[in-house]
Amino acid sequence: MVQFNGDENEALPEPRRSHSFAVTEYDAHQEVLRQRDWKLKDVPFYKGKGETHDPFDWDNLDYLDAYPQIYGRRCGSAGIGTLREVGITRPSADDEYSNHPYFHEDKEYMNRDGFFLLSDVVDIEKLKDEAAAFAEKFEENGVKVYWIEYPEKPIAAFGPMMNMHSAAELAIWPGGSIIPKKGYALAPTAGLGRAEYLARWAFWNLGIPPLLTVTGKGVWVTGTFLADDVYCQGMGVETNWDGLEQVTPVLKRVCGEDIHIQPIRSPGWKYFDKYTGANTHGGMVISGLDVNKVLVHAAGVDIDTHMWLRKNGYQVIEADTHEQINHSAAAIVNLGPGHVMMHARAEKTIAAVRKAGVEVVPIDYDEYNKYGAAITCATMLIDRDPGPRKFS
Amino acid sequence: MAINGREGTPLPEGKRSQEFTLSEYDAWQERQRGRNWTLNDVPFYQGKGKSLEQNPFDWHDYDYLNYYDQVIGRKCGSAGIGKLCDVGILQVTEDDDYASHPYYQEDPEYMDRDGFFSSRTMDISKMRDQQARYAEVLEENGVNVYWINYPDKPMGAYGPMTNQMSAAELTVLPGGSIIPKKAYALAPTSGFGRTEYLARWAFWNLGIPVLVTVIGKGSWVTGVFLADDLYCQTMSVETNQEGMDQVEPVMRRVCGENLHIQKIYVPTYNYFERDTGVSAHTDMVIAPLDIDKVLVHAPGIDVDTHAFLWNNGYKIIEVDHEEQCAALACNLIPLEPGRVIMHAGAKRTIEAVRKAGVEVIPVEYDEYNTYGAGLHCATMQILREPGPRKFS
Repeated sequence: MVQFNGDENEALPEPRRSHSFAVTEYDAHQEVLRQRDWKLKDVPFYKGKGETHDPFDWDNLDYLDAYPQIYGRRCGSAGIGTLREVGITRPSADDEYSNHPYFHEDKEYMNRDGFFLLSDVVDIEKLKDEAAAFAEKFEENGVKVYWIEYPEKPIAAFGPMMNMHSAAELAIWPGGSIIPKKGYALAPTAGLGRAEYLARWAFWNLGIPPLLTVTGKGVWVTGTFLADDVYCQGMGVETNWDGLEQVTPVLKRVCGEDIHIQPIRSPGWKYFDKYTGANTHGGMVISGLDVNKVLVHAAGVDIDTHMWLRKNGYQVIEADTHEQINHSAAAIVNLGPGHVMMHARAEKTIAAVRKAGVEVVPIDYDEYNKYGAAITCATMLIDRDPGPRKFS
Repeated sequence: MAINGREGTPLPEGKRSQEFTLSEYDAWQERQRGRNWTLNDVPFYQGKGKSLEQNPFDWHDYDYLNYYDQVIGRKCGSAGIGKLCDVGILQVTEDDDYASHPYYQEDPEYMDRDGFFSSRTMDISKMRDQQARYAEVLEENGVNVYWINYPDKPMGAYGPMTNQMSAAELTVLPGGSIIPKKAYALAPTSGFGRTEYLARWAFWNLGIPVLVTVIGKGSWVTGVFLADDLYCQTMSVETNQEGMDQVEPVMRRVCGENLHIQKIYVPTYNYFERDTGVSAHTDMVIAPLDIDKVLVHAPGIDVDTHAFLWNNGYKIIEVDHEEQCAALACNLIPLEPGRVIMHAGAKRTIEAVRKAGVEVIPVEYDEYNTYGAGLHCATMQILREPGPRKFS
């Protein structure tokens, strides 16, 4: 057989290669560590020369204490603390779904789960402008932005990739990422492989390791945090109980055993219902505004969750139904407690949120909305400060 | 300023993480781009005009193992004793010389305390020769060998790395890898970060994703498969129940729910005892030879495991005590059922194994053996063919 050194083949032209940083953050961290004058006092549990050392000391070292030393950074967005870092995808001609061969072949099939909404044609230039403005707005609000690039014509498991803008597919929690497993009709068609690309990108360039890949017959996509100890998960065609059961132990280990997990049984079987605004993704129907304030699309949230919110003293602001259908009004990006980004066209909903005392940064994002995506979907939440807790 | 990854001057090559000129993931993407994709390539697609007849929950029945190779372009996983196809081993460098490690110079007694190092000075040149010969033997026996490079002076979480040769630290199962969490005295001192490097290397260059990272206060290092449905795991200073609880569900999802997991409660708190030969690591005390033949270091295995082996019809070959201590006789590499690579120094044990009808290929590896490592430790087993099962 063969011995490989990794230098046997010619490199592809740059646009066809995975996006690799000139200096990865991992390598930069290694270089910083090399300069230190290391002593055993830098080592946890070292007690000094000739002292007795308990061989089981290291069983008391939590992963969360060690990983920033390995990778050179902390990571994780699991709450509503101040948002520090995000990743967003740079739009390209490959985002034009109307060029996708499957869309040409059977438009009805590709449309059946309600993903493509208002138009058959994506205005790529407008998409680029909106993404650039979105990035600027993050920076104005103190958030570091990483541009994520896909190679030209990226390919998923079962065909040319679509919806590369969905950077939120990679959930990043304290200590690492979760590679989801999609379960609704459109995404597996041409989407299995996107989150894997993002996870690989984040591990290589930023040093953010995957904590878990959802496997077997579990399906799971990320939910949304209302506080550092409250997590909501849309259950439906995109997340089943097997998927949630795989993820829950990891969530508890990195966010605390006492985290409240609120399953929301989505109405309907589609990703998005264009008549009701219901959506199987948690972040499209419920959003944390502040530790005691929540924005919901009432018709998209199950009765148990409505009851739970009221029993726990939340001020519930409802998204306008028309704005939910057309502008994904309940899908926001939380910048910190009482400070959010929202879709600019959701004017009535923004007014209601502001009336509740929450600061709103409006974002024009129409072109993304046209195919069922929102600023929530487009944002890989990489790092947040610890934020308020609801119960402790 | 938003980051696009082109910022900064690349580090000199020797200080960068090893990056293939053409990663296998990118090569796969390029091949897939050339295909003429149609919806017939999509699982569950039933044809034009039948979109509403299609069960939206079809994808919930689709197992991760059915598609991951379509995403990453390759199969992976060594979880049994089927024919070994791909391995990764380390290029030996000056950084492997533990005698130059600052902690060893500062407090040799502390660094020696878990039995890892022997007193001999390391012969790096000999080690290189032995590693090169090992690669040739693998190649001659039909195995692809990937040479893994660390950058110069690689750093762990708490100081300069040691024992980079332990490529087996990254367990590769069907569908992806497991990032362990070390817990014995030497490894965390300067070892946190080795497997993370290997996992990042494997994800980027080979496309092999991480299935799970051991987190919290779990500790876990890999065990040994005796068959495709039989896995042995030592419970020790290196693996606690919490670690096992994290790994077991993942292992069952990718190896089968009926996988028998045999826990071996080892008789020591050390990694390795040079006078008794007992060890915390599974691959130091038990090894598969064939579907019904096993090599064991009898005093290193608990009585329940002995009973299990006897009661399940195993022919048990015991290692020679002196060779266990000096030549780590159990630490072998199965090439396929009935065919193994062993340390040439374990002469009497090799004779006993051959007498049991197993083909043995001896490899000189004493330079590694002198500091508590062997062929199995040094080999990242990336891919095996499916092999025999013990129980079904």
